Amino acid sequence: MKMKRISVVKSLYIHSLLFSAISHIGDSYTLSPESKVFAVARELPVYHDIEDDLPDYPVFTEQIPIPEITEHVNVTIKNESPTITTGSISIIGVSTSAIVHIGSTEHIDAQSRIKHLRQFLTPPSETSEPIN
Amino acid sequence: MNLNVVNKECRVGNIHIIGVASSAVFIIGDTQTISTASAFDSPPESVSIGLVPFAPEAPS
Repeated sequence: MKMKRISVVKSLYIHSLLFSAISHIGDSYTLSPESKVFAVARELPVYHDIEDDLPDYPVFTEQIPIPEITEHVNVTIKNESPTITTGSISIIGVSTSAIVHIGSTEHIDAQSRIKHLRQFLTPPSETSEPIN
Repeated sequence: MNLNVVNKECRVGNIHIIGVASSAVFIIGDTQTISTASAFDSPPESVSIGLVPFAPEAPS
């Protein structure tokens, strides 16, 4: 495969990298970031230290269907310039399995599963303000 | 089907990003395939009542 171009970046500044995020300079073969997030907001903000396991809600386990590709496509790529050039890159935050990649790769397969939950002590009445 | 791609010169200025998060990918470079998927569940559909710490709600 000689389609790859060279990435030319003047400068890269990242303020924070957190929660398994990656900053990668150079080529790679495959990127497959996955993240699972469970965020609980409680009317009574008491959180127990036994609650550190990820509960098995369907959103964390159900298969995400992959579209079936039936048509065969012949792709030819001609790079008239051998470089991809950018000026300065400045990023404040890279988080939760996100990737900043300077360079080429072959395949990207990313997945994110997020569950936000609100716990109330009593049922919110139907006449009260809508939950946002 | 035939797909013929001709990449001319690719040159951009400065890039400023607030955040890249939740398995997102910011790439300066080439790739052959990209497939992304995301599952998201949030209120008002996702609400529970009572002090049960983290028992999953019954699957609907």
